[in-house]
Order: sequence, then C-alpha cells, then structure tokens
Amino acid sequence: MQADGVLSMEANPTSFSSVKDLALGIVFGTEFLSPAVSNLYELSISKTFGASNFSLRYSPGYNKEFSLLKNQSVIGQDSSDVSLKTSLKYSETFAAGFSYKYSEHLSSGFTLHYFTENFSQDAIGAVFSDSSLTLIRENNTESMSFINFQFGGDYQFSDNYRVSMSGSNFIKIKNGSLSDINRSFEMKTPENIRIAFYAKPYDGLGANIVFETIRAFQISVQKEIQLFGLYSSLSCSYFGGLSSRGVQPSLSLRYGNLSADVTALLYTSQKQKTGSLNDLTSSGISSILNNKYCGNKAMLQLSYRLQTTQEKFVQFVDVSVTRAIFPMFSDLFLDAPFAIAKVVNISDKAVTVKPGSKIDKLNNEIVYSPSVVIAPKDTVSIPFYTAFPETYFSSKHELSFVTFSLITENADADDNLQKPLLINSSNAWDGEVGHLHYFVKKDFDYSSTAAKRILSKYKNTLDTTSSALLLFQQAKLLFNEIIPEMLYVADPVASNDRVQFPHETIDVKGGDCDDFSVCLASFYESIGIETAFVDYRGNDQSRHVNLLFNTGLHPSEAQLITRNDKKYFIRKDTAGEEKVWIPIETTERSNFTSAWEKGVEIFTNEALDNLGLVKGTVQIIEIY
Amino acid sequence: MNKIIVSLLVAGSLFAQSYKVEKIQGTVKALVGNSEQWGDVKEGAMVTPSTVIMTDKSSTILLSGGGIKFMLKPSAALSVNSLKHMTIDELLLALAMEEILSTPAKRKDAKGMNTAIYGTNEGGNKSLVSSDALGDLKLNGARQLAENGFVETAILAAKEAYRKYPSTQKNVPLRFFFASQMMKLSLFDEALAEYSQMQNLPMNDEQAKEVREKLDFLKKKLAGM
Repeated sequence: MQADGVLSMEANPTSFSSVKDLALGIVFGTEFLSPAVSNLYELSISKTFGASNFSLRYSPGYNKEFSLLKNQSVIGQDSSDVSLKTSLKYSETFAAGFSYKYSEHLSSGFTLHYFTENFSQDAIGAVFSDSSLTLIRENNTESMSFINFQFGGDYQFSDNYRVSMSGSNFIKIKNGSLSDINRSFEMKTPENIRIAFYAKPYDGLGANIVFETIRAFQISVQKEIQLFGLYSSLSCSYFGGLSSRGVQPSLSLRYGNLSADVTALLYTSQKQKTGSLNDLTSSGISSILNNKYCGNKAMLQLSYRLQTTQEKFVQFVDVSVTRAIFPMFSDLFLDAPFAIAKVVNISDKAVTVKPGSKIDKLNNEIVYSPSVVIAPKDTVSIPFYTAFPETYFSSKHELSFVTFSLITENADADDNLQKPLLINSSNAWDGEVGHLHYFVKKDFDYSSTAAKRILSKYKNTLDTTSSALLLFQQAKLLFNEIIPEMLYVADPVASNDRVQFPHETIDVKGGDCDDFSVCLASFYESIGIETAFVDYRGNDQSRHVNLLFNTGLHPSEAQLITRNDKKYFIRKDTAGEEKVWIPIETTERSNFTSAWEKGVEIFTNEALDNLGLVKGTVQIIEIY
Repeated sequence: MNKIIVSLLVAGSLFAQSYKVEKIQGTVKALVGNSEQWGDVKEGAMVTPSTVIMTDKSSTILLSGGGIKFMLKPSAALSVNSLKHMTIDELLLALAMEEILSTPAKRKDAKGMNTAIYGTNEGGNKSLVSSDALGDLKLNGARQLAENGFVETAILAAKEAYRKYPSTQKNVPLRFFFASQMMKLSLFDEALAEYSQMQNLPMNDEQAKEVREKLDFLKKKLAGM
C-alpha cells in the first residue's frame, strides 16, 4: 500500500513497522531553482526486533537557507561596497523513531526530529582610533536546536484497508535561546493532527486520502503494473494546503529486495523565489522541504530490505482434532486424518505447504502429511495424518499434546500450534466392529503358539481326520478347549469400549462378546481358518458381535458336517471359491455344537429374516 | 438400488407363517429347525417356517394356512419358509441380501492355501438322502412353487439350491425354467446373469442356440435398443 507523500513525509511514525528485518535507504534529490541544487537528501536505516522497530535517519539534504540583503552597506578597505545581509538556515539533520506492533492489525510509535536553526545578521560596527572612525561589517550569529516529538498509531482492518492517525508539534524540546531579533525567524510548528485512510478495493488499484488539521490534504491513486517484468506501481497525488499546492507523480520498481522510487514534486501554486523580510517573518516556514519558497523537485530513492529472518508465508487459523487417538488402530490414521487445520496464505504468491505433526509420547519425529498448494490470500482446510509404531503399548489413557507445523520453503516451520490430545489406552476400542481385527492381529504370535499347543493334545484325532474336515475339526476343538472355560463378564459401564487382547482373555478366563470373538478369531486366523465378525446393532443402541468362520468345505461337502442346510451359508473364500461358512455364538459357552446352533438362530433371525444385512443393522466384517 | 431403498421403507421382514398339514399321501419327512434328523409328518400337525418337508417319489402333502393351500407333489423338498407371496421389491431385497452374504470383501493380504494333508474321511455318516439328491428335490420343490404362483420365492429357492447343492447347477432344463421365470418378472439383469452362467454348461445344440438368443435379446433390452 502506498506510503505517505512528501506533504507528510514521515508523518506516520509507524511507517517502518512493515519492515520485517532490516531496511536501508538513500534518497537523492534535485530542486529546480536557479541554479538547480542537487543533494543527498537522506540516509536511513531501520531494524526490527520481534515486534519492535527502530529507525534512524541522517538527512543532510533537509535544509533550507535564505539570504536577505539589507539596504545598508559599508565601504571596504579596497573602497568597494560591502552589502549587509541576513542569513537564515533551517535544517533537520537527524530523526530517530520507534514503533511497536501489538498485533497483525495494530501498531503505534513515535519519532523524534532534530532541527537546528542558524541565523546570522550583518551589522555596521564602528572602530575608533586616535584619529579616525572606521565603519566595519560585524556578523552576529545565533543558533538554536530543538527536538520535535511526533506520535501515532496505525490500524489495519485487512490487507486492503488501513487507517492511521498521528500528532506532531505537541511536544517540542528546545536547546538554546534566541534574541528578540531572531525569534521572529523561528520555524512555525503548529500543532497538527493527521488522519489517513488507505484502501485497495480492487486488485492492483489503491487510493489514499489524508487530512491534516493545519488545513492540508492529499489524495492519491496507485496502480500496480508489470514493467520490464518487474513488480511496479504508478501513483499520482494531489496535495494542497498552507502555502502550496501541487501534484506528485511517482514510479516504483521492485526487484527482489531492492526497490527504486522516482518521484517528482510539481507545484501548481505560484512559488516565490524572492521575497521581503517582512513576508518571511510574517508567514514563516513550517516545513523544510515543502514551503512556498521551494522549487519543483525530483527525487530518487533507493531501498534495500535485507531479510535475515525468514518471511512467514502461511499461518494457522485454527486446528480441530477430529478423531481420538486409538493406539491399536495405527493403520487407520494413515488413511483418515486425525485433525483438520484451517490455514491461510498471507503472502502474495501461491505457496506449497507441507503439514507436519508430532504427538508427544507417540511420535519420535514429525510425521508429514501430503503437501497442499494454497493460492495467495486463500484459506484452506488441510488434513493431518499420523502414524505411530505398532510396538507402542500403554495400559492406561494418557493426556498428551500434539504440535502441528506448517513447512514452506523456509528452513523452519512458518507456524506451529499445539493442542492437547488424549491418547487412549491400547485396549481402547471405538465401538466399530470393523476395527476389532487390530486386536486379533496383535496377538497372532501368541495365538498361533497357544492354538498349536492345544491342538497337539488332539494329535491322534486330527491325524485321522479327513483333509476336507480338518479346519472344521480344528475350529471345533479350539472352541471346546477355550470358550467353555470362560466366564462372561460385561465391561464396566464406564469403560464399555475396552477390548482385551487374546492373551489377556486367556489369562483372566473371562470377558464379553467382543473379547471372546476377538480371542477365538485370533486363534482361528493364526492357524489359517478364515473368520469374519458379525456386528449386530439393536434399535436400542445395544451391540453384539459373534463370528462366522470358513470350514473350508465345498458346498457339495457340507453334508460332512450337517444334514441341515439351514445351518450353514455359502460364501466365497480368499481365492473367490464358494465355501461353507458357519456362524458361532461365542458367548454360548456350553460347547461348539450349541454355539453353532445359537449362531445360526441369531444370524437367520437378525441378518436374514429381519433383513439386517440390507438394512445395515447386521454387518459382516472380514478379518484381515 | 433405488428399488431396494424404497422397499426398505415398506418391508419390515420376510417372515412366513406356519401351515397345517391337511393331507398326506405316502411318507413325508420333515427337518425342523436346527435338527439333524428327518422326522415323520402327521396329518393335522402344524409345520413352522423353519421346517423343511420332503416327499419321496410316491408321496404328496397338502398344506394350508393364511388362505393358501399348497400341494407338494412327489420327489420334492421345500422349506415352509418359501411358502409365501413376495413382491418384486422384496425379491430384489432378498437377492441383494444373498449377494451381501455370499461375497466377502477381498482380503488385502490374501494368504496362500494351506498345504494338503492326508487322512481318512469322516464324512461317512448315514443320511436319509444324499446331498445331490436333496439338491434335486429342493430344485423340484422350487419349480412346484413357481407353478403354483409363488414365482418370487421359487426363484430364491432355486438360487439357494444352486449355491448349496452345486450339482443342481447342471440341471439345464430347470435352469431354463427359472431363467424364463426371471424374464417373466422383468428381472432382466438376473436373467442375463443366469443365461451367462448357463453358457458354460454342457448342453445340446438347440439349448445352446436358445441361450445365445436369450443373451442377445437381454443385452439389447438392457442397452435400451
């Protein structure tokens, strides 16, 4: 957005608050008088430390000198006339400022301007000797310096709208004093309040309006253009007030960190190149660079902005953790996000963002999610995925936190944000039967060893069992060895989403329907018997789960296990071949046959007769 | 799919009713619930939906209930559960349900098949009827259902027989019969699937020609030509 023009040069003490690190500037200027005067106007440096910005300016070219001839002269020793004159010199040599950025929207600051005034007056002096009186030219010089205090604030409603207000000349600290004769030459520094509005309502087109209580104003328009492939802008201001009016066209070119501004200051009001002493003393000057005695100017400003601290391209608006962390379901978090972040691109270019997250106690390093490209000024939702080792185990819930980060082209994250997070215990279950297979697989090694140990007791039986019946026989033996030993114990109400690992169910000899189904499925699957959970959902939110398993029998072999075709179902196996599957009610603990019959009864009633399979109240979930 | 969703709104369940045995000629057997034993059926007894009744080659049974009278002729087996009227939507629901049940999702990490082992076959227990024969009886029962106006449940019963008794899939005449029943009900997708499967069966030239003609017709029909 366009800065203030010459009318209010440095009128806003917060103008340097946009400097992100270090800025250096140099301004050359030419004032078209007779003859034209070229000068180094200023050297400036500005440095930002966090939210604070310090600026310093040395301005040798900020001066204005007047020579006034008196109607008096003296005869010099060479008999020539020596005119008496009065010289007035005003200069602002230094300025120093400080501003503080309270937020992305609000900043305030102050600037101290150091002025000096030098007045020299020629006078006729008399030198008496023994025989004569000689008149000579005497020069009386007086100087005074003062510091003018300027303060202001700036509020940015959005990237495109800003308002600023500043006050000047309310506090003035003088050093030295002037005689009565020179006091009338002092700079006029009326108290002034300045209000400026900046707007960029259209892409690449901006406007400024500035009002000052000393009855001055400025109106500017600015258009961003591409010139020579560089980011450029053209602007034009009209200003008026006090003693002068004029236009100020300007062209800015920016290449990387370097920028060049060429500005012309063309007065439309009548300028006075000469004037009387009375005229000067009555109106005085209130600005060194802009007063009624100034000529048109041309200025070249070169600026260099050094970026030793990284520029922030994106930042979080907010992050919502959308899923609780269940350590057993590690795979799920690779496919479905556990958090969604709203991220805004605060830069003027499209940015590729690599989102990362690290869950304390669960991740040893940052887990990166797929990169997302965000258009300039756009806000998007970014999903965060995570992964954690299957070896993680905790028997209790843990309160942790997750650190979200946004990585762009910078070496460090552009933004970080922490959120508290509950890591459920390893036994925690989200109630989705489809997720029970994680508990099944976790104990495969244990289940395989334990199943083989049990079956080895029936070596003779199994050795004489036909190959077709082997899986069915093994399933029957395992059931009769494991389940009848169990005590049915429902989960405590407070922890009804807890599932035991198979080794835990065997150790405690008890559990509920999901514990028994997980345990039996783990034993079956570990020796190659395909299983599927059957999830029954009641109208009262009650849930029940039992098992289907693949006997490995071809439908034509079903009579090997039953003469009643209502006791089995034909389903495809892993290879796509049709096989005989039978349902098992794992909480029917008397024996395998009873569990089978109970399983058939429940499945036929709920899944088939009550249309549970098509209504969705009954779901068959493969275990793999 | 739209049909299925609509029917979910109107169909609560596919419950059938019990029937009274009005008359028996010859010996009729019944398999009740989860029982493994076929028992005799007596006149005047009630048979529940979970009962399968079976006639031999010279017996019949007359059932009545709910305004329905049904005579199961010789050499047939029928689940009492099938003795009910169904709408087309209910039939589509039931077919969808069978599809859900019989087609598991593919395993990501499909294991290899177990290595073969050798041992004696324990499946030598005596049964009243062999598996293949029971399949034929059931398919015959399904045909009788269709012939008596229970076309929808007949199609379901036939498809169940095909699945549970694979030898019945080779009964070409009855497969033609049930495929034509599907076409009568405008179940063109199902009929197309049926004729497509039949292409692989051994059949005479006339039957093969008929299958090809039906397939051409159905493909054009489904393509909207």
